[in-house]
Order: sequence, then C-alpha cells, then structure tokens
Amino acid sequence: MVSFLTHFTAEIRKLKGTRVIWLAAIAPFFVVITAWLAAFLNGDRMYVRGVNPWIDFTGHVLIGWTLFVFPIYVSLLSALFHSIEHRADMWKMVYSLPIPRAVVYFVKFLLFTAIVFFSHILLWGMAESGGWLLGIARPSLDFQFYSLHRVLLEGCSGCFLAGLGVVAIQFFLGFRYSSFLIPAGMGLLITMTGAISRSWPVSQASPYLWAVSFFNSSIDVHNWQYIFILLGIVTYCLVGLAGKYSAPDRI
Amino acid sequence: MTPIIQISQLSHCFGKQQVLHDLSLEIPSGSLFGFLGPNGSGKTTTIRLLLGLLKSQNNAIRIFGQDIRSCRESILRRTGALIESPALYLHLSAHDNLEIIRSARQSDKRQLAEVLEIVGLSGQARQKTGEYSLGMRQRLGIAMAMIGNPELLILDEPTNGLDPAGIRQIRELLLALCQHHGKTVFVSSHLLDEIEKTVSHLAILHDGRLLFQGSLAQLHEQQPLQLAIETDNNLHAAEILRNANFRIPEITQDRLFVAVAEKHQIDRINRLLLEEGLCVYELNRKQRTLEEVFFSMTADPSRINL
Repeated sequence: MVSFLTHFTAEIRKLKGTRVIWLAAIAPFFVVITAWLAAFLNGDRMYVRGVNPWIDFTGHVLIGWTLFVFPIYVSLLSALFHSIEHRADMWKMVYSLPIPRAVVYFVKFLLFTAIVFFSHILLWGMAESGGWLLGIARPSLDFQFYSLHRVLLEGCSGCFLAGLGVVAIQFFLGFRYSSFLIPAGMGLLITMTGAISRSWPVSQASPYLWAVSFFNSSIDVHNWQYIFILLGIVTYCLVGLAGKYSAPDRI
Repeated sequence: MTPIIQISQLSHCFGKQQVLHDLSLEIPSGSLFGFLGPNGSGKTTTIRLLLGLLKSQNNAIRIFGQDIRSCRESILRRTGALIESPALYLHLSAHDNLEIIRSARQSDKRQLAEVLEIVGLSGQARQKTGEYSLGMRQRLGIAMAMIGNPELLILDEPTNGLDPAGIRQIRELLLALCQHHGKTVFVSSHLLDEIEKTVSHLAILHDGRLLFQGSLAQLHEQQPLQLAIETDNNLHAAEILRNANFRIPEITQDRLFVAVAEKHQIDRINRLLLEEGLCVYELNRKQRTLEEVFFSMTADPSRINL
C-alpha cells in the first residue's frame, strides 16, 4: 500500500509542466464555453420563454461533450500521458526501480482514470457556473429562475461511467505503442467513424459511442440507457486487467 | 572476496539470434569491476538481464545470493543503475527527477542534496534537465543511481559525453565509492585507459562470449611477455635471435621486440647478444597496455589462453 501511494505521488509529480493537466481542463472548458457563447449570443432564439433554459443548455453541454469532444480528448490524453515515459525511453529507469511491475501499470491506469474523472468534475462545475453566469449576463433567458442540478450531476457521472470503456482501451493503446500517432490517430478515426455511422444500430457496439448512447439523444433521465454504464464498467475492468498481461514489458 | 553477482552459463537470444553464449561471471563484493567489449558484444544485454529488464531464460543470475527472477524487487532495492544514456524527465528539474527516484526507494530526503553535491549539480538543481548539457545529464544519471545508498552500482558507460575533467571526477568518485564506502561498482566502458586506471577486476566480452575475467594483474600475466632490446646493431641482433628460434614481432629504428615465454630466456638472449660481440644498451620487459591487450583479444579471440 505504501509502495502504491508513494508511486502514485511520484506519477503525479511527473505530470508537472506537461500539457496533460491543461488538456484535462481545456477539453470541458471548450464544450461549456461553446454552449455558453451560443446561449449568450443566440439565446433568445434558442430557448422558449417559460421553459427551463437549463434543459437545452445542459443538453448542448452533455451531448457536445460525449459525441465528439470526450472520445477525442481521451485519445489525445492517452498519447500525451504515455509520451512522458515513451519520449526519453524512461521505461528502463522505471523498471529498474524496486517497484512491482503491476504497481507501475495499475498506478498509471488509475491516475489516467482520475484525470478523466477530474475533467468530468470540471465539466459539471463549469456547466453549473456557466448557467449561473448566464442568469446574470442575460437575465432575459431566465436561467436565474430555474435549475437542473441533479440531472447535470447525474449526466456527468453517467457519461464518465459509460465512457470508462474508451478510457481503458485508449490507455492500453498508449501504453502498448510508443508512437504518439497510434493512440491519438486510432481514437480520432474510430470517433469520426462512430459519429458518421451513429444512425446504424450496430454502431452502438463501439465503446467510443457508449457515453453518447447512454443519453439516448435526450437529457430526460427516463430515456437514459443504463446498460451503457454497465458495459463501460465491465469493459474498463476487463481491458484494464488484460492490458497488464498483454502489454510487453516496456524496456 | 565473496561474489556479489554470480552469473552461470547465461545465454540469451533475440528471436533466432543468440547474443550471449554460456556467459559465466563472478563479480567480487567490494570490487570495481570493469566490463569491456566492442559494440554489439552483449554488454548492455547482460546489464539489462542483471537488472531484470530482460527475462533470463534460465536461473543463471544470482545477485546478493538471490535469483533475479524471483527476488527482483529485493535486489533492485540494493542496486543503483545507469543504463546507456541517462533516462531523465526532461520537463522536470534535477531535484524533481531525483525526488521521483527517492520516493520509489523510500530513502531520506536529505540524500538529494548530498548526491547533487557529489556530482556537482547543487547550483543547477532547480533547472529543467532539458536545458542540461550531455555531461550534466550524465552526472545526474549517476546521482540517480546513488539515491538510496545502494550496495551495488551498475553503470553502463557512465563517462559518455563528459569532458576530461568530468571523466576524472567520475573516476575519483567511483574509486571513492568503492574504497571508502564499500560499494561494489560494475561499470561498462569503452574508455580503456579509464578502465585501466580505475578497476580492480575486469571481464572482456566479444560476440557474446567471455574472453577473460579476473584481476588486471592476472590479465597482464596471461599476456605473452615481450622484451624491448636496444643494441648498437639492432638488425644484426634480430638476425641472431631469429636464428636462435626467437620470434621478433616488431622492429623499430631504436629497438626490437622479442617474444619470450619464460623469464630465463631473457638471460639467454642477453648472453647470445654479448657472445656475438654486440653492445646491449637496454633489456626491458614491456608491459602491454589494456588497450593493446583488448584489441589483440577482440581481433583474434582464438589466441587467448583462458
């Protein structure tokens, strides 16, 4: 346990001065600021008076995040995250330290997951703050009279859990291949393919679409497909474990 | 001295290519052990196997009396290593790089300042290592290997990229670590002159096969003795000695060199030359340098009498 915690702290230290944390913050910021600007500039036409404006605003944030930004963000993140070790052939140093190889792998796996989780917390916080700011900046939209706290929180949580499958797959690709292009390029390609073929039922088999499929094109909680959360968690556990045993020793 | 590293009949293949052939080595505890060999001879592969970075195909490696395959972490806790060029997080400072190693080794925080002082990087501890020169990186790599006060240091080309002053500094550091701190230092290097000045024991590897292991004195003892002779007529002296079945490997303007198998032949050579009326100005046993021995061994390994 001591080894696990000390190694986790050391892994966090390695992120200092990298673009990993910046990316984790910029990705949700990009989605929220886009939805916010759309509401601020075009809200009068987008929102029906007398209807809770948070519904559409939350929908824009969550669907925008899950359909495009989230899978692309995870793909780029995996490439950036693993380049810390790949870039200067750090594996020989990492594996010549008295740390079990399983600890090396799982600490990285959990830290990667924690960064994605951090982005979802930011997404939730920024969306809440964005709506609140709209209530001040554009009182005519009526954001200040309504709220959708629970849906936004549950939506962000569901999106994170349903997206865990992609997290594990992209982590494995980044860990396995030292080239930046493979995890980033494959993630981008699969995301684009999924977005284009989203109307085909078979596309729902792609873990890259599970986060958006969870919402079933709606932020009505009764429409949400919780099976994708289950699939995300199961895939995360299976790919995470298989990754440890199928990845070659990085040296 | 008891061996701290024991390698017995270690073989290793990359695919179908065998890179190590039944390598057996014993590194005495407290020694400064030089590991020599041309590029591609299997030095780095051996070092990677020693550190468990490559899986050995049999239980051929024992360090501190333990099998590297089953006791990897316990061995690595007592071993510091620098493999080829130092692996550094270039976006971090020297202090942060050392702190990562220190936390993994769970050693005292005060050690960071100590090792930085030893390698002369105290003033640049907060500078990003990406801005370091090659020599500074090399010195930081050695500092990283020293974190945790390991009993055994395995250093692959530690003087790479260092200027003469830096090389001398590392030489003195290695000697001090070995002589005053009781460390065992296993060092591979291409700088034969440096190895000769530093090591107590050495091994020579060629094409994955061990050509020699032992002390420097033993290596020199194994080499055929050469006698440097200066007379008033070196050409005539060479003719006399050839006629007496002596081998003359080299004749220069001033001297001739004669291969002798035993000491008593020196006396015979002297008598022969004097009896022929030559004036003998010099009879000197020539000690071959490590460089000469190394090149003669690796050029024609079959000539080596192990």
